Amino acid sequence: MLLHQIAFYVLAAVAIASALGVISFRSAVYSMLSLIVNLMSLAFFFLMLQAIFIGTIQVLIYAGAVMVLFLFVVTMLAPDTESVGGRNPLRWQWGAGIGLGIILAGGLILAVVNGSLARDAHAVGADGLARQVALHGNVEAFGLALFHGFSFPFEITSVLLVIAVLGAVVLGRRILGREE
Amino acid sequence: MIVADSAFTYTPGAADWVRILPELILLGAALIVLLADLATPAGRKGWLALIGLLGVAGSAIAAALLFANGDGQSAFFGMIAADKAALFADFVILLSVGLGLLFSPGYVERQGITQLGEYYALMLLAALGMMFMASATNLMIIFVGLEVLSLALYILSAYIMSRSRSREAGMKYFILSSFASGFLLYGMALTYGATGQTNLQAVRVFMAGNAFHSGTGFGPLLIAGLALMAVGFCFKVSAVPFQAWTPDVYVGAPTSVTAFMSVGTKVAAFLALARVFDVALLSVHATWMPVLWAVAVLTMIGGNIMAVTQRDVKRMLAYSSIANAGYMLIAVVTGTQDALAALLIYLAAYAAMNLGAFGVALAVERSDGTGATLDDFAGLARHRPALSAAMSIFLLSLAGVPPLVGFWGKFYVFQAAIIGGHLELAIIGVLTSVIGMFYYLRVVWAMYFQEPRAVGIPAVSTLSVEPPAPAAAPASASGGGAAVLVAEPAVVAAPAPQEAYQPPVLAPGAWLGLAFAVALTVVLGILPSGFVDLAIQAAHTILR
Repeated sequence: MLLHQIAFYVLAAVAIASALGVISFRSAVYSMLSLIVNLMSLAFFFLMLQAIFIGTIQVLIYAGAVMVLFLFVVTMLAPDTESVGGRNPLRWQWGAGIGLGIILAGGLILAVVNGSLARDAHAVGADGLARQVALHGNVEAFGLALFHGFSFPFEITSVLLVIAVLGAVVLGRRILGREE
Repeated sequence: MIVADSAFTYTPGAADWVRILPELILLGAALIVLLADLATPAGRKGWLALIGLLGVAGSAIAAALLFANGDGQSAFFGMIAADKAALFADFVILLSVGLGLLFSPGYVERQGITQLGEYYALMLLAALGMMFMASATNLMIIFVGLEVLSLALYILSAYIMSRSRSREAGMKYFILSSFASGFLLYGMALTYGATGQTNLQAVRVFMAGNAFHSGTGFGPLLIAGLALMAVGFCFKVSAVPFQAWTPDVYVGAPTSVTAFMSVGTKVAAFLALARVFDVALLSVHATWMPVLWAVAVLTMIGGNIMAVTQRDVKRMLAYSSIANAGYMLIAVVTGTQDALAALLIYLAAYAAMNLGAFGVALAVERSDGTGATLDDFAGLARHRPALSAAMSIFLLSLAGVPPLVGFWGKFYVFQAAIIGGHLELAIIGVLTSVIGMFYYLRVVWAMYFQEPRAVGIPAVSTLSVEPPAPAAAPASASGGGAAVLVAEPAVVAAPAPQEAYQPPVLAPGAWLGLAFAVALTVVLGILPSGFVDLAIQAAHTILR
């Protein structure tokens, strides 16, 4: 149990540090790389929660495929304008943003520390989920839920993908036209 | 938990598919438009709009049949409702996308928009996302529906890629709206953590149980979830203080898209807001009510005051849509059954009059996307009496003048607020409506009592801050006089120089759309009882 806790805190520190890195690095490539670290540590969180399938998918799709694509695009499109920024004309927003962010983080930490999290979590009915996983196995339980109770959100996500393809066609072709 | 178990064995049947028939027809129409685009030659893309309109009509018929004969059960494991409230919202969304499609041919060609197949398909898919969101009975569907409609609207906002304002609108909308979606999703995740359910009915049952009322009350986890969801929804309905994106996006996007999205997004977001806050989380009404109360007050006051200073009519309409979101929020805050009926009435009224007003602005607009300022509306009545009359009807209705449909929207919302114990909101609503009266009537005044703007010389038009422009008055007065006598725009062009004032031209479809919007605004205003009854029936089902 102690090992489990140590692993959790180390992973949490890595996840937070890399998430901060994503928004604070000036170079887009560095931001990408720390996003990969962030997604990897999230994958480990899923593994610690025994969501083996989700953890694997997280590595394969997000940390793997999507991020490689991102890196390709960033390195291809902006080789010389590597660092963005310069003087920020809205400096006061930094202070306000950090202040409000601390308030939000404080509120969420309060929610966790208050102990209500543990009490609420008991009501969730995670027992039923654990029983299904024990009955069918991890991937099977996921697949059964996805194609039975949650088939409808799964299906309409395909509409989302159609729209994304249309967007790529429309916006991409138009930009090429402008360059000619 | 029982729900958790059945999620692994549930199998959808034929009845489930019948309940989402309106959505399926619309999806089919969008895909047919995409395919037909390949077979349509370049100059004939208007046919695609016709296919889209047929799809919209078919979907509306399916919704009407379900409204009359459907069993009102939810489909697909409680994911999506086919109750009367959902179908009523579907009607309003279909009305807005139908009018948006009618306004599009002619306008899109004038603005130099190509790739019309994708344009019409995206309009239909955005409407599909709105229908999903408005009918959703599960937090998951609310989110996916929201993303479907948002993603389509980001692309549509940026559709005129050669114009920097349109690109800016798309980019701004994309970044700010994604940020707000993040808040909404975080809030949903925390709510799920606190209740163990994403199904709204199950959340309601859980909340009504004693889990939260024992001990120290309900957890901060749920409060954090509520707050984050409220932020997300308030952004989507463009309530103050989350309204900053609205004017820029509404002005930069193609006006046909703005007209459609200003109504459709509100219908979808308000239905989802009502289902989450007024149905699922009604038992903690006292917790979230003060927050939404403050947002409603800020939105009514802020939206109306900011609208007063606008000279661009599209921008004014954008702020007016913010102000209208404030009135609709009154209904959500009140949360009674009357209030939800009033919300539906308001949304339907808002659809007819707001789409109409944007439709006229679209006709007046020039081909570079500018030219919908008050100066451009000055003296419009002399060249375009019918267009001006239509615009006056829409604006008077938006202002809430009695025989028109907008009055009934406001009347029922304020009445529900008073009965529901929120007299102060009704008073603020009435007072801010008076402010609204000023900026709506200013456009009417410009159209009927101001001299037409001096011919297309930019220097004069920028100087003419104080109406009427002295330099322009004599020249256009003679032209205007002729127009009054003959009421024929061609005659007006004759005395003026050739590159001078060009009266707005409208495609037949746009005329049809405007006529339809006028008919709805007037007829529903004079005979409101029928559709008010429908809205009351619909509101009954939402709370069941």
